[in-house]
Amino acid sequence: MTVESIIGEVFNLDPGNVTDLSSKDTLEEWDSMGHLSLITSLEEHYKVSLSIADAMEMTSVGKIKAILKDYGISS
Amino acid sequence: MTEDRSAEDSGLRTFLTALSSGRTDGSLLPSTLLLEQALERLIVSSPQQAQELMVQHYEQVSKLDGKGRLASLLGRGLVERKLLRAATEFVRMAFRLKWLGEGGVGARLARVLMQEGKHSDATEVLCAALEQDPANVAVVRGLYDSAVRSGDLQQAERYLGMLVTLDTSYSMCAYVFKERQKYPPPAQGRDVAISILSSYVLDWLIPYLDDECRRVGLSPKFHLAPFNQYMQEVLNSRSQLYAERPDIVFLALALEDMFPLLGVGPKEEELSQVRSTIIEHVLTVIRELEARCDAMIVVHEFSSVHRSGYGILDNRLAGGIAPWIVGVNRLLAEELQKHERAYLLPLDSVLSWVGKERSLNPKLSYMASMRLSETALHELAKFSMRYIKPLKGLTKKCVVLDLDGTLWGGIVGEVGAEGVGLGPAAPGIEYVEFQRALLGLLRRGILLAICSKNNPDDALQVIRQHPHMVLREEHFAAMRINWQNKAENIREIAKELNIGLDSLVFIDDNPNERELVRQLLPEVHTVDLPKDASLYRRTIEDLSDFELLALTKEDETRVAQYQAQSKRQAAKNTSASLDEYLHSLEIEIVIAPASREASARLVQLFNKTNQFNLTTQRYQAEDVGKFMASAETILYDLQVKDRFGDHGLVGAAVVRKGPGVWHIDSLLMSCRVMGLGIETAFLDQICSDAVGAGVMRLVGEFRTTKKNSPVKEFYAQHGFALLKEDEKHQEWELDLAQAAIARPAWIRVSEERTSDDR
Repeated sequence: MTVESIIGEVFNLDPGNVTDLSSKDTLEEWDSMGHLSLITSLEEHYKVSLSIADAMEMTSVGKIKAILKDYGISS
Repeated sequence: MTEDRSAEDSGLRTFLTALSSGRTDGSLLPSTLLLEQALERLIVSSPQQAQELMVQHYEQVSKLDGKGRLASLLGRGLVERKLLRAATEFVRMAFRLKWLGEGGVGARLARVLMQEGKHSDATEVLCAALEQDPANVAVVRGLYDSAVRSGDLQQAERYLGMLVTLDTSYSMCAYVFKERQKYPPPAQGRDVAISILSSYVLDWLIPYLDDECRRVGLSPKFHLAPFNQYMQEVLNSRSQLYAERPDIVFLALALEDMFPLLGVGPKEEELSQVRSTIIEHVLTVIRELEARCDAMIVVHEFSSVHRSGYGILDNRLAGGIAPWIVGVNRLLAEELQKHERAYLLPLDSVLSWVGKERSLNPKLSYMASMRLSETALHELAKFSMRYIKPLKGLTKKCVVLDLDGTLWGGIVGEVGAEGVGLGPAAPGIEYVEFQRALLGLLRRGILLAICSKNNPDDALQVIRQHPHMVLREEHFAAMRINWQNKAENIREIAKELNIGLDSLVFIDDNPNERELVRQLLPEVHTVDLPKDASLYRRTIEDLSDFELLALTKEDETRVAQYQAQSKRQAAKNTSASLDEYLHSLEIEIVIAPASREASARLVQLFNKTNQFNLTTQRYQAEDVGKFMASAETILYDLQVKDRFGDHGLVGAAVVRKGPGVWHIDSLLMSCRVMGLGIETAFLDQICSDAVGAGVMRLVGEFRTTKKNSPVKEFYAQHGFALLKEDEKHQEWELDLAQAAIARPAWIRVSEERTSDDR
């Protein structure tokens, strides 16, 4: 499952409209509670435990992908 | 390229034609694997040609192992090239021919169709997809969107219900919650106002709790005190908390928030001092809540998230943490018993069902003060219903049980009474355990009944004589062992026990019987019994439908009362006239202002009585206390005894005393004692008390509900004149100077209560 489709599922958006530039600032649904929900979904889908610093840094699709790469996950 | 493709295409055609003419053994023909590969290449390069081929030779394609993968690939290819008409036609066919077992392509196509405004095409594709893949979240989501668009909110609500069942994650639950706020489901039942006070962030509990409430037909409204401001809300009479007029308040405090040193390992003296501080804090909250609102109060017990710093010595030391927490909770339980409206929710045991490891989420707790994981919150929401359901009168009254495969293993008609699976070892012990759990429900006052397709003699032989039957004839309030349709039998059972169909739970191992009852009697709660009988006991324990807020003497002796009822029925059949019958019952009633000890039973009556209830006011312990204390009101209770047994406290009335006129605010009676003239004697007692006080006008109120039609004519039958009426409400008046009520001759009314009545 791609990061785009996870974001689509968590925020109920068409994954086709999600790009690397989609972020906390561009998506209305991505608020602070939504962020936690997204982190939980990412951890579940990729079977990974993210550090708090990384979890807080994941504020755009591009950043999420870059950080996941550090955990050895290509998304 | 083009030539290659057309060569391959013609090769495929030749092969498929050969297949259809039955010449499949020729060595010139490629294997099916090669064929699949060729088709796949064609799909990628020219989906339209591939579609044409696959449609033309659908019988051959159906024989391919990879047909699902190919169909899915082609469907996606057509959608990507925006060949929507072809895609719609092909995908619907692929579902119909069961090539596609997975609904993803359908969901994707439907989304594009919706964007293009082709709503009915989208819906048809989704319906075809749902049939092949009923557990596909994307498909159900699509169907939900299309139901909302067409304004069918009833159908939309059904799809939302499916979504949360398929996917229990928080993000799904939150999505469903938001949608329900946007498009409130139609025709929901009773409202419930829920407030949550917490020392940590519990926002995620609300979507889960909302869903649990809606599943049982409640329309919930939530108030969550702002983070860590619960005390300000509790102490301020004008706070949002009280403005919401909550029916129930949950108080969720974390030890770590009140006592951060806990994670280190505090000294013994510190512990005992902190214990009294914590208990006093909780009790203060309870007292303030009690003084300022009528809500039921549910306090979460304390549960720790850390292991003790003392390691395995923790329970050997006076300063051990685990024993200290147990002590705090025990003390809290004792204190709460003194408060009628306060209950202690066993949080630690709720969390232990799903496992502490899975219940706690350290990251969320550090990042956002969210202590509990989504798994734990889901479980907590389910458990919270055990308080909400009885509060809103949703407790079930009777479990209707099948026999073969449900109470014992095997079919008695085939294996004989000795051969059924029932005994002290496996197989058989799982059924004994299930029966034990049912007996536990019976002790709590829940009735048991049998509804089985069997020869009565075979079945009764097991029930009466099998050495390992736990449940015997005397435990069942009603039995229907025959070959009739079960829906009919269940309807009869409800009638015999004088309870509503919505008070019944039906348990049967046969899915066909369950489906029948579900369709014909949707009010009955039909339980999805797992195939594996070793899960039966757990299944019934997990139901939150049998909770009582207090256990009364009436609950514990209910079966005896119902069995006496059948004897009364028998007497009715032998008495020559109704009058003789009524006299033969030797009915004796006591009507008197209620005493304190009766409170719990009265609250239960106010909240459970549906049929014989003139205004259906759901009074709580607080109200009952006020009625008893006030000089302006009389709260009557009614106790009934007859030749066959003691019914106990079965009726109540609230009368408001005004100058020159008394007003009957509530009058209700258990339907067990209906039709015996007892209600007339009850009304007569109120009249004579009024006359005794020099009051000559009595006004009675009637409020229509779905269930109280049996007493619609109550005041008219007793000579009252209609004062005014609107659609749901009537007021009746009796001039006591002119009219009197004839007390039934067969009822003896005494004012003295006997000591063993409670």
